[in-house]
Amino acid sequence: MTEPDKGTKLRSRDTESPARTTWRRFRRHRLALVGGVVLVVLVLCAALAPWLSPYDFARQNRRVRFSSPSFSVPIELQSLPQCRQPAVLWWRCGMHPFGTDDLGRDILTRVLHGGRVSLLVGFAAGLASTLLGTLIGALAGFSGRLVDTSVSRFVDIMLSIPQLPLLLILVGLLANPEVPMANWLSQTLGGAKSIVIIIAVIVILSWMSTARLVRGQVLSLKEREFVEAARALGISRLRIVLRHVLPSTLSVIIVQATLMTGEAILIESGLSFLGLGIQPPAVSWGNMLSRAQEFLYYPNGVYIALFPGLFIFLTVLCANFVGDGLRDALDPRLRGRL
Amino acid sequence: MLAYIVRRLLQVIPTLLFISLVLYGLLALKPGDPIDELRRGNPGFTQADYERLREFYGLDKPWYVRYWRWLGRAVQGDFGPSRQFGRPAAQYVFENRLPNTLLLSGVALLVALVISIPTGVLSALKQHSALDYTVTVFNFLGVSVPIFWLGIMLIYLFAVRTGGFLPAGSMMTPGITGAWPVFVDRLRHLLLPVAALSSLHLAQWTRFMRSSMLEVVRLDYLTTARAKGLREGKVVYRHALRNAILPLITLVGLSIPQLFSGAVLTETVFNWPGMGRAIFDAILVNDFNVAMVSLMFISLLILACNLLADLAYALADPRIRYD
Amino acid sequence: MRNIMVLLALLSGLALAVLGGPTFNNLVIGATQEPSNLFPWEGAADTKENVMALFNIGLTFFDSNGHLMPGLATEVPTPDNGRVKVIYDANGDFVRQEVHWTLRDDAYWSDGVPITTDDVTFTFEVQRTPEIPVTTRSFSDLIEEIRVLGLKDFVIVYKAPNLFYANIAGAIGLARFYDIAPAHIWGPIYRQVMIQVKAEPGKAADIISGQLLGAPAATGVDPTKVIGSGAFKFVEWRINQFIRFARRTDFFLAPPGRAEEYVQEIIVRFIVNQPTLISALLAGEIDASDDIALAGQDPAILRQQYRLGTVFVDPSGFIEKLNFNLFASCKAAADLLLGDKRTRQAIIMAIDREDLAETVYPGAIVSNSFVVRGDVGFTENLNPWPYNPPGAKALLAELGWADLDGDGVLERLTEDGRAVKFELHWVSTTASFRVRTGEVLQEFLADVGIRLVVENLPGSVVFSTEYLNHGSECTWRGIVEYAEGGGTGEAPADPLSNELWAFDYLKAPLSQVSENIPLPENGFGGTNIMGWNSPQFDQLRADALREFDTERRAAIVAEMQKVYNVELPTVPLYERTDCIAVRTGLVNYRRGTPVARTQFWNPWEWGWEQNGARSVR
Repeated sequence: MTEPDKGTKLRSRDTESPARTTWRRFRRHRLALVGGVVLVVLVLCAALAPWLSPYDFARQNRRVRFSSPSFSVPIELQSLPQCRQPAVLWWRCGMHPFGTDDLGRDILTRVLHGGRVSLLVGFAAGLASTLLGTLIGALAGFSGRLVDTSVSRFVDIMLSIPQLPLLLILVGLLANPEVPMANWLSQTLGGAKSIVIIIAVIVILSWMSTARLVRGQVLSLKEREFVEAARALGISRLRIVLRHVLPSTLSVIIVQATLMTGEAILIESGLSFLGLGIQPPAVSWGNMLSRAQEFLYYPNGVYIALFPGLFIFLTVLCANFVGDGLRDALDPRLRGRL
Repeated sequence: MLAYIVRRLLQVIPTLLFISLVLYGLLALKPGDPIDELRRGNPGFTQADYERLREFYGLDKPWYVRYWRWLGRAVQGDFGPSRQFGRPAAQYVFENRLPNTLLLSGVALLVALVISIPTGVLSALKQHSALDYTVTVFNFLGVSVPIFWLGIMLIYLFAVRTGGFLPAGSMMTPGITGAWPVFVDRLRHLLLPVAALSSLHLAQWTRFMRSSMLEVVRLDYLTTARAKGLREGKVVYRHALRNAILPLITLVGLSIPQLFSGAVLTETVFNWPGMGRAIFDAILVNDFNVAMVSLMFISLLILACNLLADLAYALADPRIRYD
Repeated sequence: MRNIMVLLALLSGLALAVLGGPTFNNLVIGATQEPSNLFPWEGAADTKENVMALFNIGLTFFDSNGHLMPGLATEVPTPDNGRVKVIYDANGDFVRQEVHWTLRDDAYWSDGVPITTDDVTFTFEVQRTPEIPVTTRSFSDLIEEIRVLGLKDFVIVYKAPNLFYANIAGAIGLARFYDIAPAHIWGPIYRQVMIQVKAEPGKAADIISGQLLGAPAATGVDPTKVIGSGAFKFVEWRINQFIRFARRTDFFLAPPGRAEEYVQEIIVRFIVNQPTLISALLAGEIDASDDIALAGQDPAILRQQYRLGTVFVDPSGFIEKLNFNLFASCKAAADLLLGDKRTRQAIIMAIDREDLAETVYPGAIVSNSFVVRGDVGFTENLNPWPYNPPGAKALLAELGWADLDGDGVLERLTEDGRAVKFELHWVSTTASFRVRTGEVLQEFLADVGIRLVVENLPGSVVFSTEYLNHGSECTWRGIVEYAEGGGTGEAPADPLSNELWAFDYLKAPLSQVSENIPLPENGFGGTNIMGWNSPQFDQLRADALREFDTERRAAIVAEMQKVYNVELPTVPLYERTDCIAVRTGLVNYRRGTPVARTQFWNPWEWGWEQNGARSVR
């Protein structure tokens, strides 16, 4: 009775699609699974922020500055017309589960809304930088020697320029209304300007590692039989790259994209902390932290710093878990490597 | 080998030139020049005055002419004066800022190394043990935490809550004399920033050490060594560790430049007058000479560390050849 | 393990040890800003004003009651003591003004060299050299000549009236910090620099900033070269860390009692990061803050936390203001009708300035004027513009604004038929209280249908002339917020703090182009960056500048404020206050009035009660 069962199982595994295999392996990685679930929850919370919170994230209520995290509603606040909507599930108007900040804004609401920007920056920059890196890496790997050498040199030079200062110069330039392009940017993008700038700058400065990785992969794949065969069949280069080489490097790229997302969130928070990132009234986890340090001495002032940082931490941690899990799942040979 | 070194060294020159051109060009796009301050305080200032002073200060020339002039002096070692501090930019950077950075980054580097190597090795040898899991989790925490936030939290816990048990920042208390009190004073000021700054590298290197150790431990010659009856401890130290540490050298070498310029967040939080913050401030207030000299120094450092890492690897591992 | 215990014990022990303060009879002051150099002619930073005052003293100084006292001079020149003569011609028109000064016999530089008229003429020569960067030439340009009557006596002859002929901070027309610089130190440096500049004009900028601003006398690299006239002498400057001064025994002003009972050494610690500075204060690592370090902090909360001493609040003399772009040539601003005074009136009514001040700058006092409280001519008799959103809305409706598309933001049709949305740009620096101000203003203005687009840029960008002085070309197209000195004993004449005039009515043929509104025609010079042009105000200003009688001048200044208060070329938000923390026992560390200009005006009187110092302030 048992023999045939085993047989079917084995067979089904043999015919299993690569995606399924990956998913099966990924599921075994417990931390990655938990990380993935938390990330999904975070994304959902951020996306649904306006419907989850009874407050407007920018609305100030200067009567309740620096209130401590609490689930109770002081009587004197119950009748205040500070809420956008009456109550969401258990979250009643006047309740501040994470406390309030220096202008009396609800910290939890701001964390949720800040998540929209921070996660957007993370995912967009992570994705875009991976795409750009992949494109350039594939170009270098698949072109002739001249292109390859010049692209590689360029990557080397980009890696030799001190990153953070360059970031500062670029952000400063793009935020400066006198630079022609910056003015054009601010007219076209309006309030979203700082978000677009930050994504662009992160991408400009972080595509190189992906490019190197992909180039290496492509170079090693190029020599493999199936590519040689395709070439012999007279299939165009572009087609070979798109149809055959890229899918084979996909595992590396996906892992890289996940890790880049976490990295991008960290960069955004750092830049916003230095006052060069997301500008108010837009709110991100990073810019919530930018003034947090000066309130450490205030009663209840620490919560302004605590919660946004905790969320950055949690998100990046989960992204790293997922990246790790994906790597194991997609390419078991790489297990345990960074 | 020698040919390789020479070739690499020759590559450094055009690379540095290119980087300096790009950075100078970007900086030149920023508004603000030394005449601004003069003009604001002088209502009688005419356009003619302005033109005359611009010419006088050489600011009427396009940026590439100024770059050429800057380059001409820079190769002679004259990086011009700092606009903020009057004194020569190179002197300011190398005498007033670099030593502070060396202290902070050096200690952070050391702490990270001293902790990460044994922890990594131990956790690899005891793979799947409780210790290994703890270490792994801590590694994940270390690479995920925003350094500046960790710094703020450390300040809250050890300076604010305790009413100043440890200083919340800056380098030293002025006026302290005597070797021992000065030493203790520096140490107190170093504790928190080093804890924050070393967290990332600590995590990265432990993780790296662990995986590289795991790889080596599985290799055949160790099995052979064990089979020959060598004690496990001897196997680990004599053979495994030496081979596992190799890739770490490269990684450490490559992260050194990061410790110099990338510490700006730590320096900001802890008010540490180091290179990162110097570059940041110089860029903000248009102190081009300071920005350029420190950026060029760090670029050079990156290139040098890359080269050294490659060479160290080659020297330590004869299998690698560069022709 | 035992070692760790020992270490911990040592650490905690030292944490409580106090290195400054009464025990050592010295004073450690915390500052968030550091001077760039100690060059006496140039600099606008308040921190330089402070630090320079520790080892320098001017011909005069203001005390904490706002009284002008003689410093290096034997007495303050006045018309009554015959030292000030104003000469008029037959028609009663001003011809010249002569001020006679006598230097004290016991005035010495800190290296023992006597202070003489040689120093005075040299200081003036440098001040007048066009290539040398000096803070302002507004007053030195008024000087016709300096007549030397002897080693200690000289007469300054002004060709235009200078009401502030005896004030500190450069109003006499000599060096900015503080009036007289040591010729025996700076003379050789200056001459060497000028020779080099003539020889290599292409390198002038580098020579001047490197060898003049970077001379050992300005950087402290060689401590023996840093020479001053003040109560303390320079000891060392560890850049980015601290600067140290020691009490002089040969200084001519003395505290009550014995000098040894007062502070013997002053250390100013530079802690750029405000939170770090506060923690150092709370932990007792610094004994006092300067007047800038705690800007924007809530004094009430600080008082709660600071168990080692007290926190007091003094008026700062600065008014935080919204500067409007009034240029018709900037279309984006003109479309919003910013040039119409009703728009500005609507905006001032839309802001609850009491609430704003309390939230962003606790302790600050709402202002309705361009003059600070307590200064010559300050008047309360002005429209207080109370918080009045319905009034603001009514004014905006009167101007043709209405919410046409129902999105909560006002729209208006221009004469040429375009629909314009009321999106107002607001720009300020990244100082944290200003970031908060932006957010609070955003909310107030949203309530009346104005969408405020806020932008916080680095100070170096906001204050660059290319940005601030080009409003006519729309570099900024709404509001720029910053603080300006509201008189401080010099109103309204100081062209530095007075940014409101357009034409100088003191000049006989009136200039064709405004001297003070930055326009292409005058090379974008001047400080009236809004482009406000009120002949009535300019006439009053000229009258005030000619009026030597204080009472009559006060009446004119009050008139000027009335014009200002109705026209609102800038919207005054609040008078900033200085929050100063002082450890228990420190006496006489008090500025008292913004007129005193610097918190560090009387270092020779600072001392610890514990060590016998007596409080006289």
